[in-house]
Amino acid sequence: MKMTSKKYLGWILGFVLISTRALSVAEDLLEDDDFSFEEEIEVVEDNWRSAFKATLEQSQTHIAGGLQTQRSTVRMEYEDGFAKGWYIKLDSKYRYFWHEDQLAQQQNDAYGHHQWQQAWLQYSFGACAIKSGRQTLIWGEVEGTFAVDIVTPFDYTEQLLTEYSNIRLAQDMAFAECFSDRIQTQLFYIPNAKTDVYRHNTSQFPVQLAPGTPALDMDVDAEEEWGGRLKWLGDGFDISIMVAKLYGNSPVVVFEQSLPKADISYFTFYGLSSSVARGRLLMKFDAGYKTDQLTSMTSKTSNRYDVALGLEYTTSSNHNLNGGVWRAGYKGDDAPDKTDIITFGWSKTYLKDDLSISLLGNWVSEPRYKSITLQSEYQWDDYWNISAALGLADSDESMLDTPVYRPDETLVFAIKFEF
Amino acid sequence: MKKNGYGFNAFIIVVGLLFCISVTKADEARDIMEKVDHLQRKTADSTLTKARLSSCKFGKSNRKVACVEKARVKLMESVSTQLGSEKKDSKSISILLEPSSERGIGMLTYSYDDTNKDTESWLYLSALGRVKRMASGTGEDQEPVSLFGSEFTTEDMESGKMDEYDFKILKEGAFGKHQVWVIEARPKTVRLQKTNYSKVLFWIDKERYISLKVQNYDKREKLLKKIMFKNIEQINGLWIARDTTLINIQTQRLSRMKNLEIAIGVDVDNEFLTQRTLTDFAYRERELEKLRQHIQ
Repeated sequence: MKMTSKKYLGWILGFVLISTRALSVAEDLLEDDDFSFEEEIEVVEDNWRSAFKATLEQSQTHIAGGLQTQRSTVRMEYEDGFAKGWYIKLDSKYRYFWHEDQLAQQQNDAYGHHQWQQAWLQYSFGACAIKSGRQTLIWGEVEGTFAVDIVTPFDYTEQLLTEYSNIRLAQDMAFAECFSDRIQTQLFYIPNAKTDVYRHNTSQFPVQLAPGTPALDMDVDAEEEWGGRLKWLGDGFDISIMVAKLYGNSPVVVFEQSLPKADISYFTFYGLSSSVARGRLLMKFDAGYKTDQLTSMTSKTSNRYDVALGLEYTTSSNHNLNGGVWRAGYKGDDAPDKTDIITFGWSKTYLKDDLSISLLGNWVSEPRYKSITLQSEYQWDDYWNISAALGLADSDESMLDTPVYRPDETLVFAIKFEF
Repeated sequence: MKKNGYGFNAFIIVVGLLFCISVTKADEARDIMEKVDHLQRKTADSTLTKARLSSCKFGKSNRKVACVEKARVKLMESVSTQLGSEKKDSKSISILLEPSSERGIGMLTYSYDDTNKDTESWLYLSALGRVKRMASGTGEDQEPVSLFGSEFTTEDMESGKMDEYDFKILKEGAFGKHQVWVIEARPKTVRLQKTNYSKVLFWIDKERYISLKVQNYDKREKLLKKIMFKNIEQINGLWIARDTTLINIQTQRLSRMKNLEIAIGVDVDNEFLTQRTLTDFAYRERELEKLRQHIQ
């Protein structure tokens, strides 16, 4: 097309008109649309109350045929760096088991139970810190498996929904850790080790070996435990090696001079853990070796190995997926069969982190057991939290009379107030 | 024919001039934004802050904004430092102090300018007393997440990434009491997949090289968020906004971040920004107390 002067003028004029329009739009950009706030958001100064936290919770579990648990909880926490180099934490929990609760029914009455979740004093000096008192010690990387996470026992009077932290039992311990560049060293000493708790105010786990015979009291006292861990912190990976002298967390029935008795393993433990992060994938590995494991219903011992592999992945839309496989095997005469466990989980937050939904599933080969729990938690405001969880389980009949038996279907409701 | 020749030449000259002006303006815009980014990174270098982050649904009448519900408040204390030759890598630790349900949660993050290097982060799980490594990749290919449940997202808080945007000065002039450039940042193709925004407008104070206002536009080029920076103070030679308010036009929710306490250019011990700080509470408090002496 041949461009005449008029057409060039037209192009330039058009361009100027468009630019002027753009300029007039741009002029709006400099308009000060400042506004003020009607009220200032309250700013509370730090005071001594900042170190306290209180939690009130009411929960109940419904199963086919009625209530399984009905509990009220009051929890008081206090923590403070009260002097230079010193820190204290106190965490006290009181639970009341109402009449309909299965644990209350075992005692034929409602009852209350107090325990210290944590009560320790920490002193930091140089590159080290010592922490002494009631506390937990968690080793291992693969969540949901316990190949090396065996120092802290379990409190089965608590409910496992989707968080294993809810069912760990703190014990009195002296703990020291030192930090040196990329090396972290931990040492611990437990004067009187605890074992898994299944009930309160009564013997833990009476076992009737045959109809008509008196139940065998399974309460066994454990004594000193000690050990240590060396952790190397690399770029994108961690490696730990662990050594400890430990008691088992659960007693077993053994035969001594043909008579049954409850006893607990006392063994040497060697462990290895690692985690490697690559992009949004976290690969985890735990391996443990325990000597002198008592074999149930025998007078023999065997050595046990545990290996766990885990993966954790965060998707681009922030779904968190994790899974693990865990094999526990034995070496020795009359050693038990190996056990395989698969665990998987998923979690995601919605509504600006106010709603959290999580799922936890487990499959165990021996004894045969599988379960899945879906939990949702809604943070109503900065104080109130309501949650509900649906659990489905399929347990071997042999677990029916054991404290760890889970009904086929459970529905848990809880409401919590924290301030 | 001669007249037509002159007209064509004039047309080419005008178009050429306009092109040169636009390129020059783009370069100038980029230079301005690089200087702003550089100064912003300096404010995060060797810094202790105690910040209160509050969020609520808001209503507006007579140019007054008010929460129409009780605000959700988070209080956190953070220490950060910038590393590397260009101070584009960073290490930071944040501890949540409020609300009660989240008190004690600690997060340690090492992030790198090199897009091939993954961000490393660890979370302190107070219920277990254990530090857990998180898998977060580089954050480059992940949906921006809300910061502590507020209207701020990780994308709103990040700096750098200059190469992933095209900049243009839209306007210069007086904005309130300050002379500003209004600069438009449009994400390039490489950025488009990772961002929620089709463009971002910055009101840059000409004197102090700090943002006074930012507007984010959604993928349909509709206004999504306004961010206002108020109570701007000079601390250790750097300009910092004590009060940052983000208004989400579409959800009718706002978040305010108030820096209650700031200390810049403090001497942060290298060991403080390690996993030790997540578990050695006595050490953490002792070191924080030293840093708090410099609060302004």
